Amino acid sequence: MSIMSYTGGTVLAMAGDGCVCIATDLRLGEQMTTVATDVKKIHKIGDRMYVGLCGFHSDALTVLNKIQFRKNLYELRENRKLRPEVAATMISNLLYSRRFGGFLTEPLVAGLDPVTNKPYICAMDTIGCIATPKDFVAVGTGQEYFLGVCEGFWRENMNPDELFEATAQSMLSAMERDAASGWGVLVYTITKDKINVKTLKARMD
Amino acid sequence: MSVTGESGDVINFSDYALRNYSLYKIRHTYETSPKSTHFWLRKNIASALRSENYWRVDLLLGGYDDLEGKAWLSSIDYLGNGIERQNYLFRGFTGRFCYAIMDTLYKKDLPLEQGIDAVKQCIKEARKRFVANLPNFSLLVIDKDGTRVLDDIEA
Repeated sequence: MSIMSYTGGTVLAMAGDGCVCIATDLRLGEQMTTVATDVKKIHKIGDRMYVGLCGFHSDALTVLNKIQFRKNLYELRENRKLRPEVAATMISNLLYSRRFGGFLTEPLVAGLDPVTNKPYICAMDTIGCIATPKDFVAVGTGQEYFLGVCEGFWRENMNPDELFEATAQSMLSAMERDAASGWGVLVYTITKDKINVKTLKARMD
Repeated sequence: MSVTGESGDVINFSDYALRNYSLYKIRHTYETSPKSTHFWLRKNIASALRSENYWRVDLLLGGYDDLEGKAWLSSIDYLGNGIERQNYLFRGFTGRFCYAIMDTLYKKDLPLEQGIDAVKQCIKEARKRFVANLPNFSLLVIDKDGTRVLDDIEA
């Protein structure tokens, strides 16, 4: 069995008009046994910026610690907030620095620019190749299941409510099919003045 | 901390961890909290993972956090997968039989006696289903008053 699906987990992010939606499942397993049902794969690294780390959980935790360290150092040195594009480049460089035999985790960055509030989403592979589509990104064991559903649900310039609906529906469809993810979904809708957190209950397995 | 895995690594790793924590206590005059203990242990296992001698140990960490006033239970496997703040965790082959039992029996704010009964039921099932004989289990309770050893759960 692949190490990338040892612990399981999926993250999806969608961009709308001045808002971003990021969703995570809550399952952590050891191959086919579920060990924990409250493990988020997304983490807040800025006021309106989240990073999602899927793949091998141990490396995801290590990479998260390194990202938090570098983000804190950047903000102390530069005395300004980290922008999502800069965070993405930072993570990409971190992953590429271990090009041979490196971190087995696929990061996803979603957030609003701290100054202009423009939405930004991107995903990377395990060696840091950034892909910045304008619509949606997904990483994790269930990423293939998302591509078709999201394509159908996503439209240009959705407002926060529509964006939440689209993300939630896509996530639920993918959780139905992916065995290594599930046990509930957390959807974060990030707008310039608030972050809305909603829990969805789908097939709890 | 309960450590299982490769025999030599179990002894070496536990010894190494305990000595480091004693040193921390001597240096800073206070003990590490369960959360930071977990962080250090996971970091150690994860950073040694890609070296020639990685730690082949799985551990369960149980404690009481004085600052937050809450119990702490977490586990770290030999690959560095850390799972924090869980209600119940199992390790080993027999653990797999017991997850479902605890899923049914566990409730939030379970009193100590009922908790111990639940554990005894899990052990009973483990003894029934596992191929090897599991004669004795030692029982330890950790709460705000410290640790105390209770009577063994004998077959």
